[in-house]
Amino acid sequence: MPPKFSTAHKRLLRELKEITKNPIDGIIASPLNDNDLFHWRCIITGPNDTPYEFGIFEAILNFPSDYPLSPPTMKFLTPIFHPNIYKDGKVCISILHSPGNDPLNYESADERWGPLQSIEKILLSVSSMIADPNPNSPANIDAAVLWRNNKDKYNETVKKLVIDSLSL
Amino acid sequence: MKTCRICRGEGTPDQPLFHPCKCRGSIKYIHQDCLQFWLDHSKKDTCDICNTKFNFKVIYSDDSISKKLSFWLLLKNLFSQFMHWQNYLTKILLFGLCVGFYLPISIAAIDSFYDFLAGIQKFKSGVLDSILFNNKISDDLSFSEKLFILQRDTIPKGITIAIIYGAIVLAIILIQNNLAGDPGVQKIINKRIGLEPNRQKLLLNALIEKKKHLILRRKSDIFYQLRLENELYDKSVEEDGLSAQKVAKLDLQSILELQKLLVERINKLTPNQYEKLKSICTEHPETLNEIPYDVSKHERSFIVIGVAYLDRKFRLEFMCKPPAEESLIVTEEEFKQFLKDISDATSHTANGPPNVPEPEPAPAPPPARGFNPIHNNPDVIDVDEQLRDDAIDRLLNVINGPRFLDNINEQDDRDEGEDQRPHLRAEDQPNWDQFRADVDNINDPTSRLAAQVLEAATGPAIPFAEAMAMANEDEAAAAPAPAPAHNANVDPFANANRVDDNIELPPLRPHEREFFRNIVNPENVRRQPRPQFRQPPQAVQDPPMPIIDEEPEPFWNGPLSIKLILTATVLVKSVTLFVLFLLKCLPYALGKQTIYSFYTTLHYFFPNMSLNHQNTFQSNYKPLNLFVDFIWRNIIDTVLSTISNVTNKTLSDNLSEKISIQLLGIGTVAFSVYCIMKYLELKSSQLKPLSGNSRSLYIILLQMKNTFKVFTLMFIEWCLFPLICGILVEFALVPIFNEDLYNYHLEPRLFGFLSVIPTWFLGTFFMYFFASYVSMIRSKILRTGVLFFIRPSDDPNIQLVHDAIMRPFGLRFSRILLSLGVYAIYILCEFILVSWSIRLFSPIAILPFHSNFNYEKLAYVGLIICADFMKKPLNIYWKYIFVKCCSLLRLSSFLLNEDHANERGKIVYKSFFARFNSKSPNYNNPVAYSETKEYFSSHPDETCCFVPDGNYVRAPDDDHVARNFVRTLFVAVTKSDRLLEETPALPDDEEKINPYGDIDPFDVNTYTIVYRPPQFKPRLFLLFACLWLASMVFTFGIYLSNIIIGKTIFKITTLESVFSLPSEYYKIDVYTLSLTMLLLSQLNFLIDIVQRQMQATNDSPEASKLISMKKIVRSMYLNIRNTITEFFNTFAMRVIVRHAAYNFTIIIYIGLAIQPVFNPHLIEPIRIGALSMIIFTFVSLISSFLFSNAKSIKIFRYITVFTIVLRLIFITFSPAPQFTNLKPEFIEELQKLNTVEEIINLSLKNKITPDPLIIQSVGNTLLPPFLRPAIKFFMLGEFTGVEAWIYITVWFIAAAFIAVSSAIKLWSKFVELTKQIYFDNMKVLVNTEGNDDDDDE
Repeated sequence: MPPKFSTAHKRLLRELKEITKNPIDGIIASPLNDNDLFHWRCIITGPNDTPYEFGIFEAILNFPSDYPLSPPTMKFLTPIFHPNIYKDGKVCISILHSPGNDPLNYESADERWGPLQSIEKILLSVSSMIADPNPNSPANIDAAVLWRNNKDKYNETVKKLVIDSLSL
Repeated sequence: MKTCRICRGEGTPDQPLFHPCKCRGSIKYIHQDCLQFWLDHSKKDTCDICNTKFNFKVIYSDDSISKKLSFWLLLKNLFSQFMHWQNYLTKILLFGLCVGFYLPISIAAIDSFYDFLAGIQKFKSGVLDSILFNNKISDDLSFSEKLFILQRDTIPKGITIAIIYGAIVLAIILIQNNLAGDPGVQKIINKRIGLEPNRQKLLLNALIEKKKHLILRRKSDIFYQLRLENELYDKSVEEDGLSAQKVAKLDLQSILELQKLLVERINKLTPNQYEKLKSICTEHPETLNEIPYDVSKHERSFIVIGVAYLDRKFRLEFMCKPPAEESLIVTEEEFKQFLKDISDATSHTANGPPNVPEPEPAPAPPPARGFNPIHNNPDVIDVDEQLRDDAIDRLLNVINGPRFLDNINEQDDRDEGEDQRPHLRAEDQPNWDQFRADVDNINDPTSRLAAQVLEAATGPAIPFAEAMAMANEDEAAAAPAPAPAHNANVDPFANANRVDDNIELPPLRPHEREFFRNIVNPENVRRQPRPQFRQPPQAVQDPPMPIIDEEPEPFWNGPLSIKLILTATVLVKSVTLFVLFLLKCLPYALGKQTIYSFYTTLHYFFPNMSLNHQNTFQSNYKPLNLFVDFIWRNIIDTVLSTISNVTNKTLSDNLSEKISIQLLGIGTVAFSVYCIMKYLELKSSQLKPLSGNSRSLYIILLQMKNTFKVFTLMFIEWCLFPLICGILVEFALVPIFNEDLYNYHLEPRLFGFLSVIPTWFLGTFFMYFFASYVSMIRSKILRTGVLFFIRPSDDPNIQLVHDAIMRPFGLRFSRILLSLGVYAIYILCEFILVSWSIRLFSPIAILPFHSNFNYEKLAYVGLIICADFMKKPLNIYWKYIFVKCCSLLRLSSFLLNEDHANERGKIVYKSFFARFNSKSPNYNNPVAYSETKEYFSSHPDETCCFVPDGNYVRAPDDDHVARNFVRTLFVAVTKSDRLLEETPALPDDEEKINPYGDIDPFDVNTYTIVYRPPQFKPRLFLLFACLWLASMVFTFGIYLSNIIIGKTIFKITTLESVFSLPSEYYKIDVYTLSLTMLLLSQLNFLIDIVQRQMQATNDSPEASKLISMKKIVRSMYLNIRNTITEFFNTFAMRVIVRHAAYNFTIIIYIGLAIQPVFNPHLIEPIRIGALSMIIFTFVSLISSFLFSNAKSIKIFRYITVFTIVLRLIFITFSPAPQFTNLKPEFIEELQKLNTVEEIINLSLKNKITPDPLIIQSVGNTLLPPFLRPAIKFFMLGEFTGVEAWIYITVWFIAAAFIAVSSAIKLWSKFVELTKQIYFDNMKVLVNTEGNDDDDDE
């Protein structure tokens, strides 16, 4: 039984309201255009004291029509070298996984998506994930291997890519 | 503000907010609709956060609340519910029938069909009946009787066959699976029949290139040498007539001149001189400097010049000529060596650590230095590439010799610093250029060559030739004017590859294809990088779902459909047909034929041969007779009767006969496979590898052979080995447990083939114990590395399958035999000898264990647990024993790594009597044995002196020491590791032990220096004897303490009479022994307490109050509790307790429910009841598997209780048991019987249903004696007894209560459901109580 469309709409509108009222530090998020609440663009600044510092990462959030029952998907448009982000920019984080589609049980059910989560929480989680990668479920193997074996080189690569992405 | 936790909206009058769970704060409230959506979506009925179950209240509309539920509506609902479920139930029923009934029968039928086919059975009655019942019934049986026989005989047979052959097939598949990923197989193939032809060609080319290169290098060396020599000759002029200029001038003219001169000179020589010159020139050019002085000066100078001349002449010719064809011919040995070098060089990097399979085939052929690697993605760090570069560097060393890399560098130097080199002459110039060109030629392709070689030798089946061809084409296209030298280099390989074009190459893998496409079309790559980034965002489109045709055909689709059942049935049957044909029918026919042909051949030569032999061995010693008879009956008789049956064509259905013929058949197949493989191997060599069809045939045969080998080895190691150990241990246990020494069998007794299983378990159990003893000694007592020859059981490097195929069968087999021998000797000395001699020769009857009922053996589990408690004291005891024995035998340094000065030699006494009253000698003043007399005369006050002997040896200091390294150890050295004698040459049997160059996973190459006393081996044997003695003392100690502690406690507490133990103190029984061991294990702890107390008392006198009986008892109690907790916390116990206990309950219930099905005697009287129970049981069984959660298990328990009650009712009201009419002889006979089997047989003989008897007997044996009076109550005995009726009534009432209560519950639920379906109603969430008015922020 698909939920009423208005639920998702209502909820997204509420969240937009909340997020504009109490913006999060270093994160900007809003719908791509006023007519379509289901596609958001957000900008996450690289967390301080990490190699991602000074980076500005643009991402797209796509909400399904049965939001908040199903999780949105998130994809970075800015190239970012990170163990938990696929090379095409897709983000691999437990909060964006609906419970039950993880056969290996890497993540406990509490960390998964549920209607209690919100856009704000997703963005905060992604921001903290950028600062602190989770090597247990790597999406970018090269990055994960480098992160584990050679931190210096990893930092260097990341910094280089950050500077490149700023097109300075 | 209150908002819904899902939609974030507020509550409205028509959509109020509820708080149905215990959550507080911003997530407290929720809309009912939102919650409903979420619950439907997540398929849950609890809160995610607090796990509270959401409660809904059903509210009926006003008009329906007054209505009554009519009977008609109920019936309607019942029918619709039934229609809803019947489909499912039918499917389950069908599935159950199929799995439990149809498949076993068909498997058994297939088996007996093959029996008929092989001629073991002949058709008697109808074909179907003969096959189904294996000729065991007569024609005049009714259908129900046939059904009964079917479920009694045929189904168990089918299940047994399915299990046995299933296990074999599973093992074979697993082995195959393991073998498929094993790099060793490729090594075997390469070694036996040569490399794969195209790879071999590549490698051969590489070797030829290498040879060319070596020649070039030699040329360059010679060139420099010659040039140097020329300059030297410029400076000095020889005294002899030959001008140095002439010699040095390296043109043809001068050579001819010199030749002439030389010929003249040589003609003048005496034959003697000539011979000398010749020998020096040809054989020992290095002796030139040592030309003996008896040769005159003239001759001497002549020889020098002649040799120099000849030498230079040859070298010059060598320089000028192109490499001769012969020098480029590769011999087999060279090629083998080359392969070995390559595998040595690559195995380290390319294969990774030996036991880790290569993580992934390399993403693409290596971007060798020759052609530019394509790097478009800068952030991808290719680890493989680095590995590969490494490997290539190594390979370069192999291909070019170790100096090659230096050569390149040198050459660079040469280019820059040419001036420092000796001045070049004009006439040398052309040579130099030529040389340069040659060397250039060689430099570039070598890296490419290396890459190629690496690929060909180790890589997966990547079609390198194709890749190279493509790369070449691409290069040619991309770079229109490449350096000519470069182009020339590519040619040989391209040509070589083109030769191979006709060889079929494996298809490309997707990523490889991608890679090659990129090479061919570089734009592809340039266009490609990060295509998806920066694209305008789009809605995420779900991948198109595959459209499933949901046709209303419930029987054909869905889970557990008829289609599935039918497919599975057909599949299982055809697989059985095939497997049985392959593993049973074919080997049987072959074996039969082999025996027949052998026998006829033998019979032709010895026509008087007879197969009828009787055992005529008779001796006065009974055990020996029994033993010979056992061997005769079980082995020789079987063999003889098999042969005579085969030759007379009177094959019997005897299991051992069938198996032996089958084994023989398999042996025949194995032998012929071996012959074919040998033939193919003889036909091929490294230079002429097998190709085409015969190659694939060989590979298939090799796969078969490997599987067979691994299977045989594993069977021997895991089945036969424990079995033999079990037989031996059983033999040792006979005098311990059995009253009758000569007629013994292990409980529980299983039928036929399966009767070996308990023995096997016993053997495995024993081996486990022995292994844990060894590992205890290894880890706690001995120096690491002493037991290097026994691999630690927890070694991660063990690769059973790999080792099995890589080492020769004989070697592995002899190892297994050796360890079997060790085990056998150990069991013989430690157990069999002791137990039998105690039983036979002990003056008092200590053994056997006192036992008064069969199932007392369960108590031995308790004994084993108590033995586990003994671990700590045992450790201490054995440590003490080892230290003592070692110091006595002067082995402390070798075994324990404790270097004691006094062990390094012996003490020599002044006189015999001085031995008794002398102090210890001065160890710092060692005296040689020959000097002792002088010593005593010079030191009159010394009565003894220290004479060092023995020596130090190198010994491994780690259990993971490499095998080959161990062979270089155990040589005598000084304390500071200087060799005392020349190391003896190692026997060169590496080829025999390790024919395929397998890498030893054990790579520790360190050693330590330990002292080894003289007469080392006798000392070791003495040590074993001491250990044996110690174990005997230990056992005796336990026996004594059993008498002192356990028996006394039992006597005092009068537990003795409860367990009806004998009053003799010396008799062993399990209860007192367990108690004694439990108490003994605490002894260590007690001593510890007392010691601590003593210390405390010494420190402060007030603390003496610390010790009190209460405290000791309390801490002992705590210790015992800890020990028990520890025991139950071990991994195995945890698994058993946490998981298995749950499953165990199910198994027991299933067993109880199945019992009437598989124990025909219990259900014989009422067949319809039996049939209904079969169905009932299967339904409950399957439903319990389908819904394996706690709830359904509960239901299942009810069902089982019902089954049992039903069974009891059947038994009770069945007419059969009429004990009043029993003959007294029968009752008398019955009293003598012990086992259930015997009772059944006897009662069947007397046509009596045996149930009550069995229950009585089981009750009698199962319960300890003090509970036996209770049996009377539980016993159903004679059904006239009041107790039985009471019992049945109680049980029935209990069961009825459960049944009625659950039925009522079910009914009320059903009524509720009907109401909900037919009446208007709505569900309303129920709020949790007591938090309506708090938090409203």
